[in-house]
Amino acid sequence: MSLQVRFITRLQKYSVPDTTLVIPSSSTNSQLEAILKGLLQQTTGSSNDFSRLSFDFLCLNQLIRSSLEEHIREKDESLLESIIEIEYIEKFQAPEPEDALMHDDWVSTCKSLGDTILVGSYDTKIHLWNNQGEHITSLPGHTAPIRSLIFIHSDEGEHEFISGSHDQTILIWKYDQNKNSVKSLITCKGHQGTIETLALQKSIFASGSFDKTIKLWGLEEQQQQEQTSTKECRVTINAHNENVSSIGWNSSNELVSCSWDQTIKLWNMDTIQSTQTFKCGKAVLSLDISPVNGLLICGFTDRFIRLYDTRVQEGYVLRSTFSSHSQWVPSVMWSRTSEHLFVSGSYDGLVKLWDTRSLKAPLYDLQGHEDRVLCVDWSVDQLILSGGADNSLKMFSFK
Amino acid sequence: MTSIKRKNSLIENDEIDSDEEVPSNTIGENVPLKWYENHEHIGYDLEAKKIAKPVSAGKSDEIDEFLEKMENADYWRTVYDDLTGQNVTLTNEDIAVIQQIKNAQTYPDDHVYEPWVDTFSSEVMIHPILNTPESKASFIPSKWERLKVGKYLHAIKMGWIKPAPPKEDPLSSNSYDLWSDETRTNLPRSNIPAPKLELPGHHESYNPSYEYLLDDAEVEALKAKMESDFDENERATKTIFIPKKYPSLRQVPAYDQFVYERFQRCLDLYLCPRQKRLKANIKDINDLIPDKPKPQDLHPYPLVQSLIYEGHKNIIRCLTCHTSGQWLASGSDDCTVRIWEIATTRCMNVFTFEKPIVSIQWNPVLSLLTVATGSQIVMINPRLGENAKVLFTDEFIKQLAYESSSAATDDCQWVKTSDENDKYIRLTITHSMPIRQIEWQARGDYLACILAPRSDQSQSKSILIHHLSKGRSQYPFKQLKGAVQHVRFHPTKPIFIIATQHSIKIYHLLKQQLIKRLYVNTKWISSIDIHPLGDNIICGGYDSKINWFDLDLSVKPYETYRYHKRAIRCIRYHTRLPLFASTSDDGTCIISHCSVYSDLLKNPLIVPVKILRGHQIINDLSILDCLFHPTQPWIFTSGADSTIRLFTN
Repeated sequence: MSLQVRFITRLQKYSVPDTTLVIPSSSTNSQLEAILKGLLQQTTGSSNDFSRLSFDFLCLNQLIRSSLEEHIREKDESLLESIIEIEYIEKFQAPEPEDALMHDDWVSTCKSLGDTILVGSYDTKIHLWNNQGEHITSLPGHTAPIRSLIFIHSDEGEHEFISGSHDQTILIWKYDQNKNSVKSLITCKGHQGTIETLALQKSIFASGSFDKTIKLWGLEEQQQQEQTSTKECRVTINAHNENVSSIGWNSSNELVSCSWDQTIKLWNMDTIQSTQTFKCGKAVLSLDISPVNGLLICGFTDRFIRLYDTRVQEGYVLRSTFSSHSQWVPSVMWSRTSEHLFVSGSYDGLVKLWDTRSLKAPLYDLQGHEDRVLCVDWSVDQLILSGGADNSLKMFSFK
Repeated sequence: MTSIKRKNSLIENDEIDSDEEVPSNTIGENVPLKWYENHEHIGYDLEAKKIAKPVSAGKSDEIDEFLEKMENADYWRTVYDDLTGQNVTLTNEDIAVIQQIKNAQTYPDDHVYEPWVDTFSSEVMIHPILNTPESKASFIPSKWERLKVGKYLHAIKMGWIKPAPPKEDPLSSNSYDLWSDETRTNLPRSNIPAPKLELPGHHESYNPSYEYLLDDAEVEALKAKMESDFDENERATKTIFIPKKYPSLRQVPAYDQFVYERFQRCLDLYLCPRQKRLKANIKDINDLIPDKPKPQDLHPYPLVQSLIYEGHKNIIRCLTCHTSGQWLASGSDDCTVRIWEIATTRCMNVFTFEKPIVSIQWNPVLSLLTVATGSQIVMINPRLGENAKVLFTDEFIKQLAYESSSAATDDCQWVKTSDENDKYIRLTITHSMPIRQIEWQARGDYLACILAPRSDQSQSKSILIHHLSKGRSQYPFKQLKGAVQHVRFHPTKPIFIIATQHSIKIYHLLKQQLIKRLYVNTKWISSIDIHPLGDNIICGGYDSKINWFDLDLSVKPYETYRYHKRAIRCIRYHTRLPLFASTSDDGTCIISHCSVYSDLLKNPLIVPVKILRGHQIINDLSILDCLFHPTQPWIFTSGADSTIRLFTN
């Protein structure tokens, strides 16, 4: 059986004429790519070398992962009769494993900003690395394992960041790399449970804890330039019935929180009211909001990752479900620049790089961890970080 | 009629007597006498001579009449006969007859019983009495009837005549059949008639045809067939009949097998079923399965193994979960207690003791992990969870009035440890006997403790209740029968449940009395648990039976399950969700859904929903303890393979 197809693209430099081709229905990605490259050769007429390039193909807004016929049959069989439009995009480059940074204990959280990598570990210390894999320093301060970290800013050797720990405190750090000294350390006390998650929005940050509450804290400059001080929270929200596992800012005045009580809640921060509640049926472990398109991905205990569109007022908020992990997904993170890409880390020891247009299979499996993956980070575009229970922080970069 | 005839005949006789003077009249009865009124004669005699009209008789005047009346003594019995024109004097017999007729009496005479001549009898005689031929009309259908019927038919067709409306039963309007939908319960006995004996055939005749007679070879063959076809027992009940020929019936000898065959026949009759057995008419095997909801509709419940907590080096005997659902503590035969972070399987702390850990429980209120090891109870403040609670617990223990007391009994010693000496251990209670189980009351002030006395010691000292805030210990029961297996506190009321080997007893602690005694059908109880609402108890036994008791319903098990293949080690309810789990030595943990209704009329609905496997079986031991997560539909199981496994939905 053969199908009528037409190749379209948004890539200006690799455009092909708008002709209808007849290709066998059993064509897979590699065959499509060969056809396309032939077409390109014809169009440009030159002896441009396309062999280095590789393409991915979209049909019906989904990446083709099986044969073309199977792909279409899954969606809508009637389309087999008509001319099928296949969009091609440049294939996303595979990240290369670069380095593994070993720690003394489990790596529970990691964040990168600029050249600096910040690692929180179960040995109660915060470790600073640069992106070359050199250890800068270890900062003791907490008395219990660190669960969450966020960067405020980092420039010219001066790093500001926030850490949340099992010892029920949040520390706001100001670290001077050149002098190798902590300029100031503000302790935020108030939570009655372990700090599970932090989220920053301009000069405000929110923290979620096992004590079922979310607290809002200000980041305003301290009047006295003392080295250590303590801080009280601005607002406490009795948000959930159970552990608040992850929070994120949707916009400057909207917070999203998810919990073990199987709900995701949207909060209006002007009124401190819950505006929407989605019931999921499974404990939610992690969430992240895309800075590009505002979509929400969540990792669950039932090994699925789900994509939500919180802007929808009616109908299905759940857009799609990604199934490939075989264990809990305690960590997910969007790409900061691409609207389709995100990474996830799971207890099955794999980090997966996903395209939202491919539900059944990720783009790449990033292997390397020998135990559960506890955290992933993709704050810097060129660098994917993952930390796990094998005490290592893996770095994957794009050449 | 006969009497009148008789009278006539009498009169005739009289006439015959006086025949000489009065000739008999021959005019007959059909000629009235008035025809002769104008004649000189009144009739004719036999010789057709005129009989002259008597002059005097009947025509005498009044005076003569009177004189006659006066003179004649028989005047009263003298009557005038019109027919002959004579006066007749009635005899005494005549008078008697007349008297009898007047009195409606029968005539005393044998003529009453004269033979009956059945003239018009039912018997058809060759000579009919009436010889008239049957009329033609009797053979022809009546024309008029036909016309009449035709008229009626036409009228019915035209609808002029309507059938009478059905008679309305006056009862039917406001009465009904009380038993109309009653099924017939007393079915008639369906007897089967006794099986009949086979009728004798020709070969059994005393004089059979020659073709029925057997020669020697055939007799031998018959015997051989008998040998081969039946075994010894069957052969005993069979006889071989060999046909024989006798010239006459007189020569037939007595049948030697007669008594034996009668006896066999009696046996057959007595063993033969004489009543039809009613078989249950089951068309579909699925009809036998009780109508229960499908497991798919009963989510959430634990489904898949998610996490494994590894670190112990020996059998893990006991588990307990912090009320927040963040921490899990486990006690093992390697003499260590480990505290785990549930979400990451991180082992947060290890406490090592000298003896294996038998029982472990978190205090429901304070931050005190209570560990039973050997004959000691150790209370640890693991410094996890709410900071305020951790500090409060330390303060609370510190301000307790006693330092180290031997309290009410000499059998146990309380020792407090301050935080300078040890970072975690706060309190130690030492007993003289090894401990089997500890159980906190829901408010966290009383700690029940089962001790294992030696067989020569009194069982009454096997339950000890410690009062934490007072630092006192007491034996609540003066006498106890049987070894105590398991105890539980009622979740809300001051009620204490004790499971001994064979029974469950429920005591009220304030009133100090036995409320109920449950009859268990397991041979040896291993574990019990009480439903968080407090009205249902489940009990598992070493003989792999699970009993569910509804305390409102009965003291006997509401349901008994036997779905485990080996001894049940632990049975637990979920504190929030309608679930319970049972673990067994066969390496399985079975999750059941149990809806309990507050409506007393509704029985609990129990549906086993999932079998969880994962633990290995080592030395006939597999899963020793199980524990539901306090909030999530998750279950922890601890096993002989020194791992704890978490199953999630």
